[in-house]
Amino acid sequence: MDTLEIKDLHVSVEDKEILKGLSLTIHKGEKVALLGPNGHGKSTLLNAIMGNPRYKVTKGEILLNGENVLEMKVDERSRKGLFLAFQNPVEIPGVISADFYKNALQEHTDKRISLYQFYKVLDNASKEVKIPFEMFNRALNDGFSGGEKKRNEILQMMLLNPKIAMLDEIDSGLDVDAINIVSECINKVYEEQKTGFLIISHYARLFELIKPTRSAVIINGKVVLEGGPEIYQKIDKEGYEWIKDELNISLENENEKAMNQVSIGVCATKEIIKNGK
Amino acid sequence: MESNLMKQEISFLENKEQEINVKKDEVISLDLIDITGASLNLFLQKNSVCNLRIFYENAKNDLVLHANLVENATLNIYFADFSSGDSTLSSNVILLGDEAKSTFKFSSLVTKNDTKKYSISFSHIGEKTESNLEGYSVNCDTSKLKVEGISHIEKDSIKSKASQKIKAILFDETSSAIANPILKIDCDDIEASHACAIGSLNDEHLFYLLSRGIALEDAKKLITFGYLNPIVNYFDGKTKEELEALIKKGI
Ligand SMILES: Nc1ncnc2c1ncn2[C@@H]1O[C@H](COP(=O)(O)OP(=O)(O)OP(=O)(O)O)[C@@H](O)[C@H]1O
Ligand SMILES: [Mg+2]
Repeated sequence: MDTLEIKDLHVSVEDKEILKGLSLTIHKGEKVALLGPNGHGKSTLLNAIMGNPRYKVTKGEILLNGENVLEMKVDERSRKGLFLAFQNPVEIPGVISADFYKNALQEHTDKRISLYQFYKVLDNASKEVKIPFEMFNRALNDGFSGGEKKRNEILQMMLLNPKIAMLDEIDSGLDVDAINIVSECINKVYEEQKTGFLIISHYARLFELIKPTRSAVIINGKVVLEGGPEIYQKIDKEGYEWIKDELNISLENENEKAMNQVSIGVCATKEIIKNGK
Repeated sequence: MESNLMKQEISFLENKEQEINVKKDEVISLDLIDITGASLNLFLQKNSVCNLRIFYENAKNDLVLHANLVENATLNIYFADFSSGDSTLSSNVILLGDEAKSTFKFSSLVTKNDTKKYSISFSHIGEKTESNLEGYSVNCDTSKLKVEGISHIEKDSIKSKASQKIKAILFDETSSAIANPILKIDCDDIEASHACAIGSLNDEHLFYLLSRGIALEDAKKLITFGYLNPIVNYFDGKTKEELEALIKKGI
């Protein structure tokens, strides 16, 4: 069974320690809802797993089916079956989406993929995410709306068929229809492949649609609480205060005051408070 | 519909200085390939359009270009520099008549110890004139690129627009690029903008491509290709094929 294990992970960004001994395990067939107040290290975790060079792992282990992920290059991690849908997908001028996807897909199979096969796969996937096929003749994400960029991430997930898919706020900025489209795609991939999912979101709406099998909460750079779906439901109603009370933890970082007001439904406002400091 | 499109490959063999007059309402395409020590003077009459395509393919090149545009004339210059050896280009476009427009797009691949110097200037004199400079360059080894973009909007050139955008990727720390945009504005009622970005490959872009399973070398190639390839669209026929082959080979 495909398993991603994270053990006592410490990660720093620009010499500031963000993850402080985080442990978490995800198996194939699990959908893990990953929650936590803004700025507590959720995206950092996903970036570290994928190997973003800005995030330095100073201690701990990441294992995919027992293999040391930290020794793998970024592209190798992808080929081994890890996938990250970015919180903020970049626009890359001049790089034509279709060319890029064909290259990426080719890297994930041993057999040579013909142009015809590729276009068939791309055409199917584009119908699933409801992005007109022609848009892939444009530069990557160039001129795509926020919601289109997110759906484009899902399309790439469907093309590459990962073992463990990590989705970073895939629902942010999506309208109601797009959230439905995205969750249908996630559910379809899950039904067919029993992919392991690690899904960050601040909103219960997405979770209600994709029915996570578990929840995990990151506070102060650690997973402080794990359990069933009832956890994300409670956070949706009550915020994070009860966790801190129950576990007797306080928020360590400088955003503490703003964070105290945190509930998972008000992410945008929190951003403003955070940036305004 | 009657087409007055003319095509011409200019030859400088005998004459190092050429003059071309684009007549009223005429639409022409001119191709210049590998030029050494020559100058070209263009006169664009009312409502004419000239697409000038310059391709530096082989050894050393240098060209001096002067253009005068009267009312509602349009001059589009597409410049692909993939030559080895030092080269220069100096272009001076005068937007004399009202609503005259000129675009200058370039892509260059600069390698080895080569030095490329471009000086691209637009003088806005007529009202509602427009100029647009857009350039991409990829610099390797110990090569140097120097681009000077000059947009001069003169006193009576109201409602005119000038924009400059130059992007250079430095592949090696030993390569360098200098982009020097100069906006001289003597008129209030205008729009002008300039943007220059010179730097190594964007880490976030690279990480994105790598995270999809693309190897580092291939990711770099994709990005470079993305930088250089758009110019290809403005060429056609044999030149286009040669250009495509050079880009593939170069990266
Ligand atoms: N590339 C970076 N450069 C500098 N600081 C960073 C970078 N990435 C993250 N950080 C810092 O690390 C901390 C954790 O950020 P992270 O993005 O992991 O939070 P998050 O839990 O995903 O929050 P959100 O819910 O707002 O997305 C923050 O204080 C953030 O400012
Ligand atoms: Mg985040």
